[in-house]
Amino acid sequence: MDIAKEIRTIQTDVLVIGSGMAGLRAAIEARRSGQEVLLVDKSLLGRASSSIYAGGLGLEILPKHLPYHGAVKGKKFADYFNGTIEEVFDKMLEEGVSIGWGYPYIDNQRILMTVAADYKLRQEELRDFGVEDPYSQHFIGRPVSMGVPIILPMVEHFKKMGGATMEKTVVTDLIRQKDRVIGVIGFEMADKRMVAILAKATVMASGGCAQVYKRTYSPTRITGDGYAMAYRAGAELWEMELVAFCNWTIAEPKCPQWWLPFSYGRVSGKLRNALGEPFFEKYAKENGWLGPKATLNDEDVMDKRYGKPLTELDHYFWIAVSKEVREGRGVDGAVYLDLRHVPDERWYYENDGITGLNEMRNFDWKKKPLKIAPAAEKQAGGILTDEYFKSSLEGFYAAGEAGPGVSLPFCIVSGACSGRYASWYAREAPPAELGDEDRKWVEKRKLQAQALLNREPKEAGDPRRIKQAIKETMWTYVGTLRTDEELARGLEALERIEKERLPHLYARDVRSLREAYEVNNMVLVSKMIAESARMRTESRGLHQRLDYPHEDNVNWLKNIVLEASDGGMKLSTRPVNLIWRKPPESRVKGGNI
Amino acid sequence: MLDFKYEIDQDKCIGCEMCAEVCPTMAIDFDAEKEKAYVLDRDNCLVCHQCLEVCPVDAIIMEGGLWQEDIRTH
Repeated sequence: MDIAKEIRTIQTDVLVIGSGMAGLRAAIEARRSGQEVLLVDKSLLGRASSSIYAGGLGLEILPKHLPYHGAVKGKKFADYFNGTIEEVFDKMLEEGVSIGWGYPYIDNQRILMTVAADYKLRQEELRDFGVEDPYSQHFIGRPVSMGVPIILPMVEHFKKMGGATMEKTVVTDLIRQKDRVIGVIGFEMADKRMVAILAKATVMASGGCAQVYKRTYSPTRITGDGYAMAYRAGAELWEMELVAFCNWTIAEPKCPQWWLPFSYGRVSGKLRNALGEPFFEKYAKENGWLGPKATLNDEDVMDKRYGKPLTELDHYFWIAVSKEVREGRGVDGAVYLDLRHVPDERWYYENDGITGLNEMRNFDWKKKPLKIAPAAEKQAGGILTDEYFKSSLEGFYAAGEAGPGVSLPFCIVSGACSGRYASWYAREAPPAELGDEDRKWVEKRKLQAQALLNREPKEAGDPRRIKQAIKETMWTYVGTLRTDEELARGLEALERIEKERLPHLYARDVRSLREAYEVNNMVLVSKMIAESARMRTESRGLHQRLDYPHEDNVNWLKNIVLEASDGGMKLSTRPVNLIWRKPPESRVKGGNI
Repeated sequence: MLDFKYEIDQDKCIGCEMCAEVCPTMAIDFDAEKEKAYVLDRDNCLVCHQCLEVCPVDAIIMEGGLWQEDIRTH
């Protein structure tokens, strides 16, 4: 297959890469501000994003008549944002992990305050973009793709506003001139042609990188492209060690790895190890995870049973399960979730996928326990930005999971802000033009793509096989519980993949060319995660080290910042800007707690 | 393990790739030589219905899937 000789050039004011919740929201906001906006996706608009599967806003929409409504505390997501902005801010700071941020006290407090202040407004505003009443019955009957009725109307709304779109266009690199990003180069799959998109401002909203793990329920295309592109262009990234795992992920053979939705049915379950013994209580007692009112009665739902809100407990579950499996008391890397005692009405009136999945697979959760194990859900770190979602490069903004945070509330808030400030920048910025050097570089990238297509197919260079090797490596050595020794071995294995397999990487057609680009990005992002995880010698929220099991607020109130340098990946630390709140004395005393 | 029918009608398929694009788990893949989409791994299907929604020629056969009718009528 040959790539078209001619390189197409497109001009726009604001370019948005990625059409999930953050990208769409950024594109709409930039268009609202009166700029020409181009929204680009490497697959179909909105359809291949993780937002279209996300449950976060789905939690909003469960109708009030359902039996469990109100039965589970903290269930309704909007309730989380009740109270004064300051109260919400404090709650987010303390429990950061429960809504997907990094962890207490190491976030940018100004960004946290922005989300605390804006989320409710941004959610209500979705109605203006054609999303039907977010609380309506419309969403019932979508066991899995709960984001469809949110994302697709937003795509249509953006088009109606006169926004331009490009589908199946794989953005491969940012074009940098001095300290400014002036657009991107990419590959148009339909026309087999390289394209240079010149933009006064660029918003990266390409999502996270959970696909680098063997166990994940993120969609296929979530391969960390934005992180890799930003890194190659010289932008700073931060907190890449903070990967969120979800405990409630099916680990049955011949079943997709899918999460059990947050429901009354799930939280009534009982966790058991290979021997059929309960084990969570043991870890909870050891680590002080139980609340004062814990009943420890199996018949109670989990928040009563363990005396803590589920949002907080969720984080302890994956640690306990990972430890139990590591101790050799798991079954094929998983544990059992026993749901046999859960009455039908707790499942069947709910909008949840497990009943559909299991019925279709003839798997009866009423007869035998279900195997579950943690799986990678999302990346809390990402491209480092300020509170205006501007990166360390001029004209380059980042939103959503590609940016400095994660979760749907963060996506709509950071999307709106980045879209606005990118369009303000575009209003004032000089036009983006390719220089002679840039043209040569684009031509070189075209030849590299053609070389991938010309290379002889050998097993070692099969993009899908290399992806599998990366996923296995990351899950084995850079998974939920980490040690220095394992991280070092993981890095060695990644280096081997880079040196021995990437030189053989080949592409047969446009689809596998896209996969080849993804493979390159996945190797780079995997190294970022492993290197950062090795550097953070403490355990904090999403980052759990077995060799450093404690939170260390004396030495580690710091962010790990990562950037490209001549000598390879450069990691450094920066003190957290504790502008408004500091950790309480009790968390700092003596270094370790 | 699956007890529902999940196939792509090779005669109806026009090779637009849309179903393979939206499939989140690579249950569907696209054969570039034949220019047809096919079910690569049925066990990976999440029953998310995105392929059914995007297929312009109703080539995707999914029978026995819960909620299927609900979604079509929405």
